[in-house]
Amino acid sequence: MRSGDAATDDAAKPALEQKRAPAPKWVRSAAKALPATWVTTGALVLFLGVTALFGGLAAAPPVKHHIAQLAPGKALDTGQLEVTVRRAVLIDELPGSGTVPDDGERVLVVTATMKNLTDAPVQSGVFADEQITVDGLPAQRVNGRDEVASVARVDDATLSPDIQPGLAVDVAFTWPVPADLLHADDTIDVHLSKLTWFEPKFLSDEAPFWTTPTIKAADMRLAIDDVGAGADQEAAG
Amino acid sequence: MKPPRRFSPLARWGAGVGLVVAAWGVIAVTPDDHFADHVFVEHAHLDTAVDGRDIRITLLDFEKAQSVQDAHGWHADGTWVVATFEAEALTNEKESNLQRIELHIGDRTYTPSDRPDERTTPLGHLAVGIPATMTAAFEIDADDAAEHATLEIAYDKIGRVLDSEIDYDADLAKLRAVPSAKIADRKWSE
Repeated sequence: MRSGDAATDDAAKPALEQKRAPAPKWVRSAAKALPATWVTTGALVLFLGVTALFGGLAAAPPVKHHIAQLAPGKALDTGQLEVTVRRAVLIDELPGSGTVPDDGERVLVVTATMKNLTDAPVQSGVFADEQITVDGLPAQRVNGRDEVASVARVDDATLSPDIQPGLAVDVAFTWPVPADLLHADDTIDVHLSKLTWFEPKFLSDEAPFWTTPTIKAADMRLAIDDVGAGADQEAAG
Repeated sequence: MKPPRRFSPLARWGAGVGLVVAAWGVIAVTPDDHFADHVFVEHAHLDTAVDGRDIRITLLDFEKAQSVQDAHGWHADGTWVVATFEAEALTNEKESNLQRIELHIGDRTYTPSDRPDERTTPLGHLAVGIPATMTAAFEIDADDAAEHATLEIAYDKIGRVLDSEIDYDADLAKLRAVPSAKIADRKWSE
């Protein structure tokens, strides 16, 4: 701290310089002999050497996008939901499923059990299209509209049901498909994705939530069971 | 020229410490980020009307059930907590949407069941002076059936800005359990 006395201020500067002790002789001769670039280069080499010693320069491990190959009936933990895809069914129509086939269309049904692993209700209909996809379905329907997946409860046909915390719900995902696209014993490739847990941080007091983008989590191959008009259908009508 | 006036070290340190204390004071009295989320809680009791800013709730029944049924033949087994209540707006119908009906058990938040197909979900517009009777049926995890639960009823689900919230606390372990509870159709009182 400098003295607060104004009268000594002008005299202080030279006094301070004089007070500074001269550097030891070996420091001065070393400073002359050693160019500054050598010092910085040396420090850098030392730093890198120590880093390498601890494995810091080794190649980074590849980022793992592990996509599990799941068998039907095996559960996938997405963090938000435990999803167990069970079977694929082709049916003429499935009233209450949310999918109403046009002429020349049938309904592809994938049944699954979804258990809510979080502390808040999950709206199964939001992002359903992103979370479960089937290869080879046309982007547009026979009537020219966009292909849209529906999800409904199997037991009472509640559309896009909320899944309450800790509860498991049997649901049917349905797509309208051209009648000649799929046949009995064909297989379909189903892809399951999980949502991202988004935590707003910067200047935000928003609560975190699950949202897109989705991350591919599991692939599955299902054999199609063609139940025709579906007289013995399991899903609710 | 006259040298600028200097303060004594004591005065400068005092001012510095004073500013730090003042800054701490400002931080201490500043409302937190969630200030606007705070609500004015009114505690409800069975069969007693409780008033909030623009809402009057009379909780008629709060029971546990192994099964629920509606007036149209639908029924579902499970672990249910069923709250039946009358609700009306008091002064203003413009924003009297009963959007937030929640059952809190521990960290979990349950919302009224949307089964079957939202027929029973007690959401909607409240009228001034005309109480509507409605039922919120919560389907809960069986593991939560003996926990403490809080029913929360309020208008705004998203904004929830400094508005009234009607709460009802219950120990589910002590709650009357019925084999089957009825979800009556939502109706205006006579």
